[in-house]
Amino acid sequence: MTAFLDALLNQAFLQRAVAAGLLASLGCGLIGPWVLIRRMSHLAGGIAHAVLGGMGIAFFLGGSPLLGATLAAVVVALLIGFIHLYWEAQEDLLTGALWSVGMAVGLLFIYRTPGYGTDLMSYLFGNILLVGRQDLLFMLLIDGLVLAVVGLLHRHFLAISLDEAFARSRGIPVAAVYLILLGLVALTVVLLIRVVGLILVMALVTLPAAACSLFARSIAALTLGATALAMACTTLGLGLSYAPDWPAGPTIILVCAAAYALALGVNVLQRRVRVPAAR
Amino acid sequence: MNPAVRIRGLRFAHPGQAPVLQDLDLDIAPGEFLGILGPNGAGKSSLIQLLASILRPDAGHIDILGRPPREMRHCIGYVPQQPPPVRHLPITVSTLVGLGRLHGWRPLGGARRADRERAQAALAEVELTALAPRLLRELSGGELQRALLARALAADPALLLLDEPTAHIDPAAESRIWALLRRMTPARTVVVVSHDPALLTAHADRIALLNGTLRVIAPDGLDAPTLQWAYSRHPEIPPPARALRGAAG
Repeated sequence: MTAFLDALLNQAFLQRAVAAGLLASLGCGLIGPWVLIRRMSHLAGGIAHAVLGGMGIAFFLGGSPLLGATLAAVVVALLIGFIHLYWEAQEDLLTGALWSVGMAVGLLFIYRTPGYGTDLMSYLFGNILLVGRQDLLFMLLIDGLVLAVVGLLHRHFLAISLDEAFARSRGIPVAAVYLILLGLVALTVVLLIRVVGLILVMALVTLPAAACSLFARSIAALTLGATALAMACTTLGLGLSYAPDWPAGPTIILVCAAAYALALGVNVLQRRVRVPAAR
Repeated sequence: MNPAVRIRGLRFAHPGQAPVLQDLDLDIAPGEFLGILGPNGAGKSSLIQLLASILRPDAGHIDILGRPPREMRHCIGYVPQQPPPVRHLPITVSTLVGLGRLHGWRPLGGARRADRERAQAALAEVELTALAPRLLRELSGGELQRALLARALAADPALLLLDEPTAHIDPAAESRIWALLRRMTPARTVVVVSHDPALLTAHADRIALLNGTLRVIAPDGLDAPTLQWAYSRHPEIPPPARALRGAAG
């Protein structure tokens, strides 16, 4: 860890990596609670994996993989949203199908593209150390957009997540609000691809929020807690991976999993202490 | 006096299914407490959701205070049949009730001072003020149901629609909620779906029996043969004439 701290003071690439981790954590903290509340981790997983289709096509055409990922994420989010709204009986099956078909399309296009190797691995499993200045600007832009929309519509998100029928009775445009929420999930997935890669994205979105949901007493507390925990996990994961030269993405995810396990343990202990006291 | 609710020639079918409501006519007076009773699948919930503007009729029309339901959402309160799953949610009673102030796209709905005051008044109306800071998962079934009622009341509705509001709670909590509902009339018009004839007889001004057709009776007309007809698989055989005494609408 000392080596990491020393390098952090001197190495620009490491400073950018830490900044990327913090920006990604803000997105996780803003969207993770809604994935949890709305119970849509499967849908979000489908979006994350299907993104490979867009990236593969972008690789093949020589375009920006991140742009391909963004377009694919938004298209898949809208598809999944329409399936949920108008074909709910088939939702589970079709989300799974989109998950696999997206990956298959991506792998086929990547297979047909010469010299893809290293880049592909960095998008599948992330490589936070390769984050450039433009990536940071892109992440900042997405964070700003997510923050603005969540700030404006969080009550609508809560209303449709709790009870769609009641939301409709209040004239809330349930379909539009749901599609906007899915769109934000899609953008957050893209935000995290550079940090942990699309295979590991869901853990970073859900685990900090899940850990904080055991203690939070409001959506605001959950959002702040999940953001802070995600920031701690990404920075700690980056630090732990630095000296032994481990891949940063998987290390960050394991730190998140450990934080969740710790939170769960504390929560169980708290409840055991409270129950005898109540008796 | 103009009715609070006027329904004429209402027809509704779920997609790909036979109509559950056909040629339905009904007037509900302002301040009336109307109970709706009938077997599962008779269209009780559909009727409530049509009034709440959650569903749209296939034919016929509904007027709420002289206007279509879509234009009167701001003065309709709705309590759904199933309470939402709340165990995983970090949401307090006051947050839940505040959602009742949301309307359409209004981004800050529920956040203004007037909204907060109205939500507090709704909590007081269901005697839940002391539990405002509690998480929903810390409530009993009856308390959660009262919180959902407060969410509906937060809009200060002229028409309150409840779909089996006490289906999942114990008898003591059930009695408390029905007493609260009774107190809400005549300031509000209350329409409640229930399978409990004793509660409907005790509290409702009139009872609408929905079983293929609609028959509206006075509470004292809900005797055993009428109840038997209301749940009969052969509603085309009419109920005893005595039961229909006092019916209107």
